[in-house]
Amino acid sequence: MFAYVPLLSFFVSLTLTGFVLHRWTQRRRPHLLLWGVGALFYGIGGFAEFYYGLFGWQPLVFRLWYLFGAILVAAWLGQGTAYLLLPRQWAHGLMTVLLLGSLYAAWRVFTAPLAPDQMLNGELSGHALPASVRLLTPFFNLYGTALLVGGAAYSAWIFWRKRVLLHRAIGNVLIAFGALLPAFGGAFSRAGIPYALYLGEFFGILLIFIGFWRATHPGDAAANKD
Amino acid sequence: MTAQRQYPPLYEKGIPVLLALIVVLALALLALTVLVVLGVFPA
Repeated sequence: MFAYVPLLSFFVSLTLTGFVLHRWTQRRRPHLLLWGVGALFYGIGGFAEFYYGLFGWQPLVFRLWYLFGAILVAAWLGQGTAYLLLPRQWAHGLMTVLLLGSLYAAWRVFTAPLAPDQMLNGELSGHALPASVRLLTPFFNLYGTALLVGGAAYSAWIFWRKRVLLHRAIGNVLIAFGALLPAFGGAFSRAGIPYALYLGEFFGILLIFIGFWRATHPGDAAANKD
Repeated sequence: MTAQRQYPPLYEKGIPVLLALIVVLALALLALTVLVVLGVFPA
């Protein structure tokens, strides 16, 4: 049954990708493009996990999963937040570093020897890669999670302090929680709890999707009490 | 004199509590990441 959880993550990610990129075509703001790309990376990761659960080991699928689903997804989502909140020149500088880092990570992942017998719990796991490649992951994830969670929490705090745009405060709280869940899922998975990563990813993208939807649709929350 | 704007009571109290929880969780995650990089916790 748990093999289908990543399929749900895949569908939610693709829906979010379509929603965010549609918004980008209307507004042409770079943060929307990067969030759309990040959501697409999330979907690639989910599809690779589903593929592995259903059809078993496939080296290309594993490499795609590790590159997009484990290394790049949080960093590219976080880069969107950098474009939203930081001065444009800073965001450009960070984007350059992220692009070069992503190319380096792709080279390392696609040239590394694989050991599929090292994976745990019958799930996709980075243990099939050498430790020197896996060591790249925390740096990308720290950067992306700090920006995504920090940016969402900061925005929610600002809206709350000014008591404005309640729907955005709520949406950002949900996005911050959602961004934390996959990271905790990964930690619990490493600690031996089966399918914690897959569940963390699913509930994470679900919360991010609901949060993004809430932040962009005022609804009832627009009627703040004065 | 203008009254201070307020969110509905649930959000007025709930949002800062949730934000505090997010900060605690993020700090725990940061500590975990440092342990992974140092090799104390498996990568």
